Amino acid sequence: MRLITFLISLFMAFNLSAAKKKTFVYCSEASPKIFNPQLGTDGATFNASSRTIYNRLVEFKQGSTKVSPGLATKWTVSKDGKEFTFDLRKGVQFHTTENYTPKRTFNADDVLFSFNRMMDKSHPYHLVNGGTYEYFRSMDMGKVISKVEKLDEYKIKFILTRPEAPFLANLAMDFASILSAEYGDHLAAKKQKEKIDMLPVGTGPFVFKKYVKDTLIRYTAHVGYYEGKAKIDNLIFSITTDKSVRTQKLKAGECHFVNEPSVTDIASIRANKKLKVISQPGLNVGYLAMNTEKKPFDNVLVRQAINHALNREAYMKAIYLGNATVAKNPIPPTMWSYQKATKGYDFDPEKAKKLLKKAGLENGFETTIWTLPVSRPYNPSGKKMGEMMQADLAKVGIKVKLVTFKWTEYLKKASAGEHDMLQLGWTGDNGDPDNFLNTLLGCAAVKAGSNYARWCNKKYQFHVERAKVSTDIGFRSKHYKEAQAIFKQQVPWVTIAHSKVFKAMAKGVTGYTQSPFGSDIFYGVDIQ
Amino acid sequence: MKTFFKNFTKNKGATVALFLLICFLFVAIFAPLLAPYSPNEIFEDAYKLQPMSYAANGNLHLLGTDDIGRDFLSRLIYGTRVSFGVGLMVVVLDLIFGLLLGVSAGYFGGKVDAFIMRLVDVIMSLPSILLAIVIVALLGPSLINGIIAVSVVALPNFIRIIRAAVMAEKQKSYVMANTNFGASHFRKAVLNILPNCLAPIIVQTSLGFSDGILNVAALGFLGMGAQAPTPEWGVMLTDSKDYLETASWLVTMPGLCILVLVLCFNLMGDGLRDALDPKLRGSD
Repeated sequence: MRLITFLISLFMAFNLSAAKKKTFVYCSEASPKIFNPQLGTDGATFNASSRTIYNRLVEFKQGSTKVSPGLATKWTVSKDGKEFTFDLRKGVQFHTTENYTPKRTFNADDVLFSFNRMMDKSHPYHLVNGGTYEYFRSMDMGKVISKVEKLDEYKIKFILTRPEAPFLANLAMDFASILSAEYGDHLAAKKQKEKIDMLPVGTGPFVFKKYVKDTLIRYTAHVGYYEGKAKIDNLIFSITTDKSVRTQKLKAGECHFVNEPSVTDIASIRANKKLKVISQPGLNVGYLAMNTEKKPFDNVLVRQAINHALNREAYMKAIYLGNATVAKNPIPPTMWSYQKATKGYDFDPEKAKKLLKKAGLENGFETTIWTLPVSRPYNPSGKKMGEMMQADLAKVGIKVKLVTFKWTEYLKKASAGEHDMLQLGWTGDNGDPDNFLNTLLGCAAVKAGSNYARWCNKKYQFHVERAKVSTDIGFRSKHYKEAQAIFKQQVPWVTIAHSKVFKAMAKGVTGYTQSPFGSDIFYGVDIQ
Repeated sequence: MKTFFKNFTKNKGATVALFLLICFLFVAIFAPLLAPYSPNEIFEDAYKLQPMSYAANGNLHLLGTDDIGRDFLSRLIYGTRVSFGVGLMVVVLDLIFGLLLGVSAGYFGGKVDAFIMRLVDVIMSLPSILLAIVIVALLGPSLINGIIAVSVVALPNFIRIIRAAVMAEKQKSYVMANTNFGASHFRKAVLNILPNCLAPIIVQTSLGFSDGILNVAALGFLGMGAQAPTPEWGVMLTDSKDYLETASWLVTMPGLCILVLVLCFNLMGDGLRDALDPKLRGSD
């Protein structure tokens, strides 16, 4: 009898502990390109890799653009601003996965491995899985960093070729995530190098378990995480590309959190008692890039004409439902160095026609617009905006065909410069204007593939580069404002909108902080 | 002809369907006269207006406006045109190739028949909409390519039905008599046999219409058929599916249009079959 009661109580206890396991389901909007932030540029990739699996030397404080210690506990900068020395955290554990058990904790070799993979063309991992390192290249990091030096097991030094103001913030960005050198050696010995980006191992709060393409990603909490185990035990990314389906899933309780609910659904989510919505102005810009390497967009008059032809006020109402403001600069107004004095291009089809006539195109021309295949805060509905643009441009004689591809293909083709006009946008990821003005419009970014206008202007480049080498905010501001003025005169883009960013979740979700960079971080999140 | 008409009108469903189809056809032909506005005109500040409402500038939008401010009724009316055109082109393409291949297969038999029918088997072994998607993916998404894809997919049905009819007719004594008189293949196949196979062909044509419309709408829904801003019903459906909760008329209306049009063609096809089939005719 006693034995039976014992067994029953044991069973109950087991049952209870099983019930306590917390599973958090996140309905994400797209499949990650790959599980390595060094090789990605889009939010879906970052959310699935750098914000869950990996850590960086320094991290952005949750909910702000301030840099705080991460895998490095403290750092010193030399007087000339060219040397950064980091003291590394001791006893940080890498993930143990089905195929790999780490034998040592995190140390300077891992930092060397991660950066040399991107920098050093002869590194055994450099060419693995494409070796594009778009982010690293578009920020010109290869030229900025001259060397990464290991001083001892827990001390590492970055030597730069020139002072670089945003450098520390850059190290907190996704692409600077730290991979495991030991895992790299382990895979190299097994001749399975490519798996490093498919079956990732990092130090982050969640351990990668499984990925079913276009369907789901499964993680478990990293028990030995250096800041303590996450409050949730299992994390599931349920990949749901259709935004209304995402909302339906949230309402049905199939997920706890949705990435970027459709703006049209916000009201109905607010009205639902089981759900809540939070919002903040996004650090973003939505734009239409014109491929300046192609005719007729190499002509500044044509670009200006298109700027005048589009009725952006109407897009704010129809597409963003009033949750955005018309953008006149490439950087959002909440960012320092924003050029308030810029005069926007008004909606003026007559003027557009005149400009086209001046460019010798009074009969218009035929072209294509690539419409954004995914929903983003900076552009909730690419196709619909495309149709409105099509109608606007038809009025000035430009015949537009709308084209679109799957998201990963879209980015790939666009990076290769196959487009004429292209809808895209950007959510800042280090809080520095350099992150917009250089990453998206700099000359280095043309080759790296993140300058979708493929626009390289010497004067503009001069200002952006001058601004970068100084740490004096006043001096930097002055140059960035000059750069914005040149941008506005040359208009390689039609700047469209800076939008509000919404996040919707179940009422029971606590501890979520909205990141200014638009990323979703689930460490610290709990469910009741 | 008189008996045919009498038989056809006996079937009430088919008669109503025919009447509705005539209405649809009328709308399609006179779309520019009937539509209150241009289907692609964007009215500013008139987004997602409800049916029967006036815009700020006093325009009446009978069925409201869509999410970017285009008059919905006008788009539906022009959509009728697109759908009818699509159905017609699919059927014409299928008839041309179906007759050519079907009659050859049925009339000549032997190796020609085997070759054509194996080809048909290959097409039929693939799921139809999947095959259509593959063809469009190869040709590039557009309305014309969608029509071609849907025609290819529907072709086997035409070939098989025509072949069967021709084979049955070929055995009859009047054809044999013609052979004895030394008539040419062309004379026998086209002038003697074909007119006697018309009944099943007419029925298949009417059903092919509805299949064509439905499949092109499906392609449009998947973004592989008609391209913006063409007001095509399938595209309109997919565009507005996000508003199922907030602006339901944007989804229901094009869906309803597709439903009614396809149903009408099917009912009419049934009615035609009953009226044309001598066996069924004799039974009542």
